[in-house]
Amino acid sequence: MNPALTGFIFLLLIATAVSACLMKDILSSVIALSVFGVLLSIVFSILQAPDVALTQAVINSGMITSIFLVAYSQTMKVRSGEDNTRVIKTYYPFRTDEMVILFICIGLGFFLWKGIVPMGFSSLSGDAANHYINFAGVETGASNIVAAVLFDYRGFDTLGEIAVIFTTVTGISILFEGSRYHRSSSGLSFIVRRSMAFVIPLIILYASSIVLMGHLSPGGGFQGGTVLATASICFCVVYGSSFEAARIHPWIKETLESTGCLFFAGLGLIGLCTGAGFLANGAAGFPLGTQGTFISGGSIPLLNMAVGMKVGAGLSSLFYSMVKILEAPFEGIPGEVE
Amino acid sequence: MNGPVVRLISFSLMTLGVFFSLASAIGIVRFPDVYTRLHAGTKALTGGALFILFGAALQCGSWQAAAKILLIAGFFLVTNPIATHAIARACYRHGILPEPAHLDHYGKTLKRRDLK
Amino acid sequence: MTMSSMSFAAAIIIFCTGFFTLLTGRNLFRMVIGISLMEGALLLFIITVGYVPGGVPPLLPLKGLPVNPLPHAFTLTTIVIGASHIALALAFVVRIHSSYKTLDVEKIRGLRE
Repeated sequence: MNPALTGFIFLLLIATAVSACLMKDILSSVIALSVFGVLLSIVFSILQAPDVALTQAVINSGMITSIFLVAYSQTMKVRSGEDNTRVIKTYYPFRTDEMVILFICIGLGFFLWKGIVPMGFSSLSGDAANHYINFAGVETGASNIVAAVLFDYRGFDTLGEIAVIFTTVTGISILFEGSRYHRSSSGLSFIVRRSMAFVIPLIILYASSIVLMGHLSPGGGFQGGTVLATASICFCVVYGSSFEAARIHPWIKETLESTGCLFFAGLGLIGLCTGAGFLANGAAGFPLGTQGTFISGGSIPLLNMAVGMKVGAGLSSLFYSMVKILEAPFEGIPGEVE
Repeated sequence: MNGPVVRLISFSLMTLGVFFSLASAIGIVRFPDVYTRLHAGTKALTGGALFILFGAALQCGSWQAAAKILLIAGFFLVTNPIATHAIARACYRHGILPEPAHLDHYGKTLKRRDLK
Repeated sequence: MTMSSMSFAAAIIIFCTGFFTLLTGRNLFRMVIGISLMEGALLLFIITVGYVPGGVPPLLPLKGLPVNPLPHAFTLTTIVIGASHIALALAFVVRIHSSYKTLDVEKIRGLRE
């Protein structure tokens, strides 16, 4: 790629991060953080990492921004009638203690740079990486080497990652314990409802395709599960969260999440039962198939489906538990269905 | 689909799209009011993105990739105006009024519903 | 300036920006934004370590020299875990607000009493 264009994109990245730091309004900082996430995903594509770019765009720039906005709407009070978009206030004339911290941060950056220079700017490929590149197609049958590493060679780490998501969802559900069906926001207008009724099935189709083709092209369980959770968030925002609770009852989400987790552990136990290790793929007798076709990869598509179920159900119940305790929509104008 | 004429057409479509997106960005910065900024942010931006996507679809290697790009263009065409409508409605109900406002049908509709 | 050195420099600058936001943030939201910026810089650093100049994405069938796939797998895990703990941090922020009615760090001194 043209070095000038790449340098420009990196400069935009730094400018977005600095503006997320310096702006006084929290909402502007959150939106700047979301733009930073999208630009970082573009940089990952430039650095030849399509899997990571997809994950970054979906999770960090889609999911986290919506959770930030939910937390913001529950804590910050905005006076109605005020249009404060004309003037952008920043923190720029720093106070004395902030100048000291600024010098400390610049010093930290200087020493980090001095630590990186002797490492050299060439690539560091070890024996493990060379083995995975050369033998991933033969030993696992998958076309996506990163999926093979995540679900076959380092499958136990993925089990730990699922445990982290489970703990987070449990923790947030405990923090927002309360009555179950408050009447929260009444949703958006008629135009948005009818149009989203056309769009949401396509989102679910897209999520399923990401999950099922995780072993052939960039994608997988985590990305597809998050897009599924995005469809559920659309339900919450567009139709109101009591509608969403009536259509997809919360115990369905809990059952789906636990089923995904048990499915993952069960596939690992099959490996134990046949004599190979826990979470073994080819050695446990899963049919590896021809590489490049849909039926290939052994247990990798099944593990992708388990992870997709778990992440999708978990993240959507996380969002629902943060949204269900919202108070009345806004002061003055009563909630209505138009 | 890689002849010189096709490439010329696709590059000119992409340049047109870049011009529209740049105009939309300048409009968002320079317009005075929320509502006028929304105009700039939707109409010019949707057109610009569609031109760029059509230009990219003309240059694809296989018809599957071109079909995927056209699906993205269709999705963008449907969802961007919906989002703008939702933002404008939320702005009005939050209390920000466009100035000067000569006709206010939405306000009259809301008042009539409140009096019922 | 090669691509790798530009990436490393950008990652260090963004990390220091996030660190500065975390240290000088008076609002609880600013601290969460700072943590998120530091995580983004870290992800950029990890991917740049595995970058091979002139490489292709690690998808079979390979069309050249592939980029190191191990940092990609590690980064996927890091993104998911980072998102989980930002979500939990935001849940804590909402809960603290509903208890103390303020988000100013100077005013939340419950442990002192």
